[in-house]
Amino acid sequence: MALVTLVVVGKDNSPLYLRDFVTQQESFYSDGSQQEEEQQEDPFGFFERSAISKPNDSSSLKHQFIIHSALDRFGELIHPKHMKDRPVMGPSSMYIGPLGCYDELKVYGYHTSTKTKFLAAVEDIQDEDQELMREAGLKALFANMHELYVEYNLNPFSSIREKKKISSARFDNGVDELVATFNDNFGKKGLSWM
Amino acid sequence: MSKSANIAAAGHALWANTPKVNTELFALTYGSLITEILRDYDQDISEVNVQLERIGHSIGVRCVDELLAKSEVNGINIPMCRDLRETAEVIAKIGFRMFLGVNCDVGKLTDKSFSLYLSENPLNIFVELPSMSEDEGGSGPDWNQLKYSNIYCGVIRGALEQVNLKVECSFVRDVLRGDEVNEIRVNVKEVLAEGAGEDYHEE
Repeated sequence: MALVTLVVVGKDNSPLYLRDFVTQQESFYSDGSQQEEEQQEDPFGFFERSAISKPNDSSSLKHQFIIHSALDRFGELIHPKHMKDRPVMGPSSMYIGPLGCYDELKVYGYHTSTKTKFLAAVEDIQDEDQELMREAGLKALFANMHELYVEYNLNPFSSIREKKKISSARFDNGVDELVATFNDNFGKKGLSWM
Repeated sequence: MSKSANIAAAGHALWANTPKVNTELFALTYGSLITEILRDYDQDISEVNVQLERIGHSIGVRCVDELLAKSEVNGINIPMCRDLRETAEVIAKIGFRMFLGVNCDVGKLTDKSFSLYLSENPLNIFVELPSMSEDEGGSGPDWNQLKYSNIYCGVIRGALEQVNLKVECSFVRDVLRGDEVNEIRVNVKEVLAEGAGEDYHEE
């Protein structure tokens, strides 16, 4: 039910932003300290260990593999689909929808007109009705994230061409809020909005 | 006091009559100016601050004429300032309001200096200074030294120079560095004598 990972990928498929969001229950396994900035296991030493842990770097290996496989499906969905009857403008035209199910996670995609991709991995639930509501919430989340991303790009000190990772406190805080709202509305078992 | 009410009203009236430009365009243009200057001077922040002030100076020299001319045309009377407080009020209420449409307050007034407080700054609406803990570690430029809106200091200095007040202007508090307001401190160095320079004197 809860949103687990958010990823922003540039138009040449370079990763710009990778972030895990661990919910309250799952943090039993961790040492209970800051949830969103944990460093996950790193068997091959792929991840940089900077002195200050940035939220941007922490996304577990398993989640990264899942997002990576979803990217292939994303690529397939972009080409022929544009010949179908999609609305031309607005957030509903950029929202791709579910890309696939991996383990217990479902991955959704959003594709901007400048070919920047947003992917979100959400825990799967069986309930059909909740599914539709959740997709609507996800569309709103993606649209807002798009806005945040645009605001980030308007910063003259941000790097668009250099393919650097997004490191901006404003962006991080905005994403935090969006995910918190999403998890509050759709994350809990049962009918919390009634 | 009716004087300050007049000044504020004058500012609003002048703002209503000036042609407007899109705020985002303005902010983005200034942002690219900053990054371009940074590239020109190889990330040397103190040099960048100096250049911004110089650019502001050229702008300020022209601004004061425009302000006085526009107010004449619109039938608004800006009386001659008798003391530093009135000068400060005119800069804050008319100058900033007319050119930028922002609210500016005067404070900490002494005989030789005053402060201007800007709560909203159209130049830095999208800006976030890069954090210090980048990959370069300590070798990157010290972004906290960058006075992003230093151009305002130049503008004030240039404008006051045209009315024979030599001032020194600097940013003491900046929203981009975490303070709540932008504060510009203006110190009057000297009051210049009237008249053109020596080259223009007749024999």
